[in-house]
Amino acid sequence: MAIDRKIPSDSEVREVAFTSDGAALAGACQDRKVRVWDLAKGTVRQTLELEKGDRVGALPTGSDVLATLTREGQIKTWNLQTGKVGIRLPGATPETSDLAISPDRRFLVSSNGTASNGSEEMVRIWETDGRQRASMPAGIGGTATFAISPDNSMVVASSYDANVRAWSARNGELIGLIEELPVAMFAMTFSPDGKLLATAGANRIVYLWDTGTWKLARKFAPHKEMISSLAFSPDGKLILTGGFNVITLKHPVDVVLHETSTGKILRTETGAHRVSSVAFAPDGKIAAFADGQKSVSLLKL
Amino acid sequence: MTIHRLSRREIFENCITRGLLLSAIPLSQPQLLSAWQEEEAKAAKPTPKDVLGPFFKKGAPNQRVLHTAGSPGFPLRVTGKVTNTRGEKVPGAKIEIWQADHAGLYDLEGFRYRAGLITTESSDYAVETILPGHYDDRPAQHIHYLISAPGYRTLVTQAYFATDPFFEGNPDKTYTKMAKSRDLVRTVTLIEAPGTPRAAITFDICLEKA
Repeated sequence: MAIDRKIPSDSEVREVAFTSDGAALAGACQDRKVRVWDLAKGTVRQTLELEKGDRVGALPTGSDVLATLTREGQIKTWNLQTGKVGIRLPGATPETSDLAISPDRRFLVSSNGTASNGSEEMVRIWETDGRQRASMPAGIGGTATFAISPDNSMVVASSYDANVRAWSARNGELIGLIEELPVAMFAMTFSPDGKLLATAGANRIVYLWDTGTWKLARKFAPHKEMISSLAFSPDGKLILTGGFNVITLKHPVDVVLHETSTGKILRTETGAHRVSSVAFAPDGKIAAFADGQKSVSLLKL
Repeated sequence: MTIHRLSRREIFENCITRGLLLSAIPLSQPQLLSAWQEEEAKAAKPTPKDVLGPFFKKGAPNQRVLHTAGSPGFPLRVTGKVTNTRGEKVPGAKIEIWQADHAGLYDLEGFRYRAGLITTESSDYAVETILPGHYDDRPAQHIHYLISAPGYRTLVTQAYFATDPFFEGNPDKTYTKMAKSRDLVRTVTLIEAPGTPRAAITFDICLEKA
């Protein structure tokens, strides 16, 4: 099979997200612009231009929100429909490299990403008025990725020390620790019903964890490459994963559609060396991926 | 009874007064003290930190030989010792080491080019491996280290090679392209092994108390 459609972009696309109505697709681009494409026309309908030194912290699909980080560590949120800046928080630190926005938009989570030292890294929960709700020690070596549960009750982070930690979003209490992973997980997301946490990374395997017990529910057969991105379809029945090849930046990788219940591979597509972002449209009929190229690839499902 | 701990200056002055420290250097006492303290501080500097990277794997065996017979790559011996900032040995320290193979690939399925060493009473360590390969994402040869010991701050760092073409023969200037500190770029010594030459570096580790 082939990619069903490509939307061209003037700049390399790193992250993608559908708008809540599914009519548009936002792409965070290399040139510090976030472009919003009208899906029917394939044209840019909105361009959000980040200030110098600003970077994208979170672009959750189906939420119409973009969160950016300034060089000084301030957090800004933007409305993808209007292009307007929403809130500005002073709280984060200059090392902050990654953000997540809760589905109810009541809090944000920040981490320091790849840490430059051996000290314990912190994941922080921020109120939308800028107050810090909690800060949680999150392992040695930095946070690879994190996720917030659909009911806004849990925050999980995957550390480069190969542990996954889960905390109560209410007070930062540690509620789960997955220590049985041998290597770091680069991509992580909750199922839409919140009952499963899917993780995948350096050892090419998709793991599904029961979020009630934090025990392994099942795992899929290894991919050809490492996995750098992962998404559930809105009904939870499908998982899309994107590959990652660190050795040569020219090697194409697989983009794989799995059946959640069995791990069965339903479809395989090809992306460039690192598929950094995958997303499903709110109606589940289209999926998109970004692989650092001057286009976004669309799959009809 | 209160024990009065002498300051470094008081000890130094006592030693000079009692003839325990003789100076053949034409420096005043304060100059001597500051030179002495400077040298001591230099010796006690903790090993600089560097990033952990994405490819740490838990559970590496305590093995000294990281390559298998006939595996490609230029043979390399890495030796060193683990001490604290006071110069004391740290026996029982755990040294996790991992590196890419000659082609720049990390073994994520098994434990090739990975070790979890425990330092002995002498606090020395040594591994037989190969010079790590290059890869596009981080194009300088490097060996990852994660060192932990009870009572000490965990250290995450990396060793680099002064001979790496990446440093263009001038790591004093070019180390900033990759390494967090010039100290992490090590001089390579060629040594004679039965039949073949091999490379060697020393990488001593100095830990800070927790």
